Amino acid sequence: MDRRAFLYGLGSGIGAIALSSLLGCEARRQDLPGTENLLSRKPPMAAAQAKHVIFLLMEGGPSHIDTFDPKPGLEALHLKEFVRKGEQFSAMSSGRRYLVRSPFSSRKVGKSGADMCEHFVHLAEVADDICFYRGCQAESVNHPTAMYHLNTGNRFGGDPALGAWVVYGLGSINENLPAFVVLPELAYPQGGAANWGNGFLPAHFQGTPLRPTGSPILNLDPPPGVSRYHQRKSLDLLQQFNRRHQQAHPGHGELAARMQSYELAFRMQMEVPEVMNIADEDEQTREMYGIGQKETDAFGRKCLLARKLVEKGVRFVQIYSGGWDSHDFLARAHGTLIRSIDQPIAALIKDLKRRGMLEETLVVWCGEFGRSPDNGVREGGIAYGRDHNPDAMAMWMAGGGVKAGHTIGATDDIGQKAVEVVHPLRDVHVSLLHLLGLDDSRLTYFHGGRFKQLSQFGGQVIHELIA
Amino acid sequence: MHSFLHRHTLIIQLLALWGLLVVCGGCRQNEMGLQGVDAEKLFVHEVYPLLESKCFACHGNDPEEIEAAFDLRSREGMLGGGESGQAALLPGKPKRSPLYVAASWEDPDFQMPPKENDRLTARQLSMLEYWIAQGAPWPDSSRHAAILAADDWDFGGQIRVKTSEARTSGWANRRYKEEDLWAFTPLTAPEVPANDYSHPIDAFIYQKLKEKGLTPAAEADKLTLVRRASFDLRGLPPSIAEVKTFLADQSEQAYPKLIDRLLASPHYGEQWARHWLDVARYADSDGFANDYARPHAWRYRDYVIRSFNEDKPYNQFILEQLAGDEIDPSRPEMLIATGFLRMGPWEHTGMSVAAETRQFFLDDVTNSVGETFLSIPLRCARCHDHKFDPIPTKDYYRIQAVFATTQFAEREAPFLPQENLNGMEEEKAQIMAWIKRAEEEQKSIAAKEEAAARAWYRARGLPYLPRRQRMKLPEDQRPARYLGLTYEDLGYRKVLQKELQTLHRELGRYEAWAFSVYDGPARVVHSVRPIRMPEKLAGNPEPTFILTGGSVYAPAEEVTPGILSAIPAMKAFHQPREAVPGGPVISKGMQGRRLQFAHWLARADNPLVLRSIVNRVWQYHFGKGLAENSNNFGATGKKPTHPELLDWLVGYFVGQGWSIKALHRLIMTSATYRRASDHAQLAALRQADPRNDYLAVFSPRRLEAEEIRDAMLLVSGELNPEMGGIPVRPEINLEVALQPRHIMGSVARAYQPSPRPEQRNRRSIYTERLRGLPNPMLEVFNQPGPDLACERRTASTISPQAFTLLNSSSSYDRALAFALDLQRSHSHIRAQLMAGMMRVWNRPPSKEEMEICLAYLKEMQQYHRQHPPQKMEYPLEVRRKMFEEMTGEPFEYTEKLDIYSNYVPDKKAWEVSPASRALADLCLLWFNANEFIYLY
Repeated sequence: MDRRAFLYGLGSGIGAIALSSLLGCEARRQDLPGTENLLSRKPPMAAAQAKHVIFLLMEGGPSHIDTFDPKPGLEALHLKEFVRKGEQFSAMSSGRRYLVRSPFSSRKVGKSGADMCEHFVHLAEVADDICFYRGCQAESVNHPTAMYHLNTGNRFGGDPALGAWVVYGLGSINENLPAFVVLPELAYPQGGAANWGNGFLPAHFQGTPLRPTGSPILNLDPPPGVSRYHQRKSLDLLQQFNRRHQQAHPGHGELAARMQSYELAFRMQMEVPEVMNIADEDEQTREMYGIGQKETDAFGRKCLLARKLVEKGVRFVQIYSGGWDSHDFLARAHGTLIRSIDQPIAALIKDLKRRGMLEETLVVWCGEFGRSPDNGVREGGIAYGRDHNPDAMAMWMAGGGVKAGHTIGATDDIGQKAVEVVHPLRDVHVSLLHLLGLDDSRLTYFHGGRFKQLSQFGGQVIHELIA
Repeated sequence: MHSFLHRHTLIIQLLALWGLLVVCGGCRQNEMGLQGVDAEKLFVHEVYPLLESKCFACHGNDPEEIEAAFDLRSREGMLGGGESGQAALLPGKPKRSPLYVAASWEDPDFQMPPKENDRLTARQLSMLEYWIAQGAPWPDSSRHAAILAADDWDFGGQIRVKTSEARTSGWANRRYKEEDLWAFTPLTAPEVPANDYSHPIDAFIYQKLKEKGLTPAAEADKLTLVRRASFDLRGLPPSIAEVKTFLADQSEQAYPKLIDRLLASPHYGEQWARHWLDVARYADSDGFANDYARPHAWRYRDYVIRSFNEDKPYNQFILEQLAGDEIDPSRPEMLIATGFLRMGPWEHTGMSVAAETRQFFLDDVTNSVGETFLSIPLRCARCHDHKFDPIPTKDYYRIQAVFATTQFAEREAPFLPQENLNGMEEEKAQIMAWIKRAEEEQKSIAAKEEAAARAWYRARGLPYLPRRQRMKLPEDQRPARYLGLTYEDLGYRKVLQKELQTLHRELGRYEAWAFSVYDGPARVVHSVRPIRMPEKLAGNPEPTFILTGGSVYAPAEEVTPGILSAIPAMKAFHQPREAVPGGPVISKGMQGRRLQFAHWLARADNPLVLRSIVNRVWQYHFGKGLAENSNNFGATGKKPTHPELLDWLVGYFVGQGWSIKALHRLIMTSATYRRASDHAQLAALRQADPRNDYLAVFSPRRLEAEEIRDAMLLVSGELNPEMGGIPVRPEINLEVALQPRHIMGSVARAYQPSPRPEQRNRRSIYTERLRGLPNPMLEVFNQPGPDLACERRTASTISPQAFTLLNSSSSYDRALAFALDLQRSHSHIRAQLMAGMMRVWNRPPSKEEMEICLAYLKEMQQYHRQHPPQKMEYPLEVRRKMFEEMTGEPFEYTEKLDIYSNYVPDKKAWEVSPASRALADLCLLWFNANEFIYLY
């Protein structure tokens, strides 16, 4: 019985029975439970470079116009009224609207001449490792539904997260760590833990948040005053009770599994804090990530931890950066946020590269949607911002077999809408799976009367993004 | 073929499931019964519809975009070949026809259709093979039509279901395997088999056991039975007195009397309401971005508890939840009952599109009614005619039309004498105090802005204009927005604004409203404010259209309200000589649609509804239903193991006036229910019946999340058995309680537990259920999230459960309370251990257990004398750090945790003696032991 299975999911017995209840009689595309451990490592469905994902999620919707998709055309249109066409809008996009220019200047960086706003200083150094994509379209204008859509493929939540699907498809490499780790902000994003839920997949595909402060896993430590000696003595007695009980119920397999889960928990209390500890990294590495500097410390720590986790075999790490919802004061808000992630992300890419890990690690950066070229306030001062825009957004990928040093797709002259290499979000999901050697149409799970898949009803690979 | 899919193995298993003995393709046709079948007819009825649904989307429908230039719409197209020039079809030679080879998926590089979901079943494949082998006849269109019109296709004895018309051609001609339609088939009245057993359930169960050559286990011992029955009916362990009474009573009547006593307990309703609320998706909040409170949802929860306790006939229960407001809007209970319709997650704010939000509700309620009452997830038919079941998309929208005039409202519903109003005044005062403080803080920030504005006007020698007037002026003629405010002020201002919004929302909890609905014309309502009845109800009912691809922006044909047409169709099929009306006509008017639909659901001949509820009741007694997927009786759900028993039970249930308690009584008095979980030949039995489908033994189960918590409270002597009322808040992990939780534009207030132990120590069903903040202890033990209907709980074994039960303060507090209670009632340590183990495991300790416990206590006392525990304080405030949304600047503020300033904590380790702490350690281990967690 392997340890990972206890840690984050089911071992056997009742767990397996529970799982099999999810399988209809036509369980032809799934492993039958009990025949093998569901978390054991599985070969990809097709040849692939990427084995791990680090997903950098900028919650709130970063502005593509003010980061990687500059629109000089907005200069001339600044504060001109903007009339949109279309049928259905939320209250947010009604009323009088005014186009606004970017508060930032942009320049071409790297040999590839990628566009980056002035505040991306460090990221410019790795521009040629990145593939920028401007053709993606989300569907929802609302944060939680857009977040669910990005994370689970379903706007209304409750479905398995991308990371859960990836682990379902590829299994786990390190049995002592969760295969899908989330490094959230202290405040969970809108929509909460359902953003990394296992949905209808078995519980052990769930993302495990390692909390940034306090106990990384809830109740990991015994109450104060309870020593390891004390707890060992207690566990010995507990197992004595359990052994006697087991003798009376020899046919009940789950009893052994539950006994072992306590022993593993006991060992975990030592092991998890070790993984979390970044003190063993050298000074220069810590500095490179911006650890110790006020602006970059929090995000830098997460990026470094992500590298450590991937190094130890974690499949999918998702890192959150919150607060990108700049309806007002775009210059200040986006400026601060960009500076908080710029150095850490650049360091992450450099660090992965120098360790030879970038080829096998797919780094993804995006938000749940982009921002509008206009807003509802006719103010040109420091106070203006941008509203939500699902029709155009910023996204980039690095490593893991993507077409580095290219910018794919385009938005229109004002950044209102994607117009070239346009794809719905589900195609991005399908492409991410493809880069990992997984076929969305075959990575299915029977639930609620049909075989379900991440893209819901199928999608296509965006071949332009792939090297 | 790589191991991940195990395709071969699984296909073989699948075929075995269908009762086919086939391994190789060559002999498959015989087994399918295709021998001698007219290939032309097979083409028209089976193969052509198959090609149409699986191939034409890419190879035909749009002549401009035919993939690989392969046009499969005609025989000529197939023979002609596409880009490759190779014909797709070699008549007479299926194995050499690319069409067949691709469809068989035998060549990993050439697999069609490319999506796993669309892959042909073994049955479809063999039909394709047979058709090609017979020369691939392709009748012209007039012959095609004539064959269809003849309506004489009965290949394989399969059934055609005449539903309302389909969207896709060919769908209406689909044939269904009889076993796939089991749930739609009219109810039967099977004979009870005559055998050694007189109890009807046992007679049915034994019949199958005998067929399988299995011997049933002996009856469980009395202690096991009393625990089993007590948890099943009340979700609580038996008391020492109850155990003693039952064990002492040697009469025949001891067991039936026990069942009657348990059924009469008010805790019965709490336990069984919990099962219902799992399906109905009960929560006290909206979910999504704001997770606003649903201040009146608790009244629906209590309505469900009362309904179970009163043994309300199930048909009545259906009518009330679907249409209570239409039955009698003057009765509060009827308005409260319709809360069912609004249980799903729902939110509408300025950030969402009204038409989409409305459609989200309509889809949600349609599917929920399907899953809950019909055990059919109707969602599958939203975008296309159902792929496996006889449910055309038209039926989906006909049922949706039943709810087209249903509008949300919180309706006035005076409190009922049976409703518990305790604690309302106290909580209301607390919320009012919070509102007052927030308003004061808000005022002081506004004053700061006004002062800066006055200064701005003064500096320019202009007359001061109040905010309202000046904000209309152009930017350069007035002070800027928020002049004089720091970004901390800006951030905190927004926090306060949101806090007031949510507090005002919660204030509604103490007023007599029902979370309900009414019939009326369309209207847009927002989550932020309570929704009241409109003054005028005039207007036209909103029409319902079939939505192409399920998109609200692609309305197609208009439909009128209706029912599932497969049900009358199946009845007509099985009883061709009887006149079967096409089901009730549901009014197209504004009023009464739901009641008419509910009357159809609650008819004594509605096979789905009756099988659904009887199966659910069975499931909660035996761990799984006679049909295992209790939310899905369609072709893709598991088939019933004992279909005759299920129908017999339905007959019994209807005969007993749709009484759920009568069903419990019948089930629990059967020998099948009373069987031991152990068996003399367990290994052989496992081999023969690995999933215990035939019930030769009773399946043990892990206690469910709420049962664990409630049992700990009962055993420790802390449980407050008070029933009903506004939700209470137990302590949860403090880190989670204080963790910032994003709500739109701000952070929610910290979770603050109820101030007094008797409030916190209520049963789990009364604890507040927030969609955005699940109780981590309950969640880790597989309490399902309230967004999806949970047909059956899982019980995974994961290490975080050990962390929770062994390390959390909630567990320790129960253990310490238990220890102190034992010390209070018994002065001698052996007596304490004796009583303790009786309470927690319902049996006395063995001599050896007594000794090892005493030895442990001795050692722990020693340890505790040397390690006095550190005193911990509850926090009185929490520092919040967030990024101000407008500026991206980090800012901090302090949130006061007033509850803790007037808080009665549980007894803590530092307040008690080393002896008590040692005993608490032992109590904690008792709670963690498998003997406590598993039920046999």
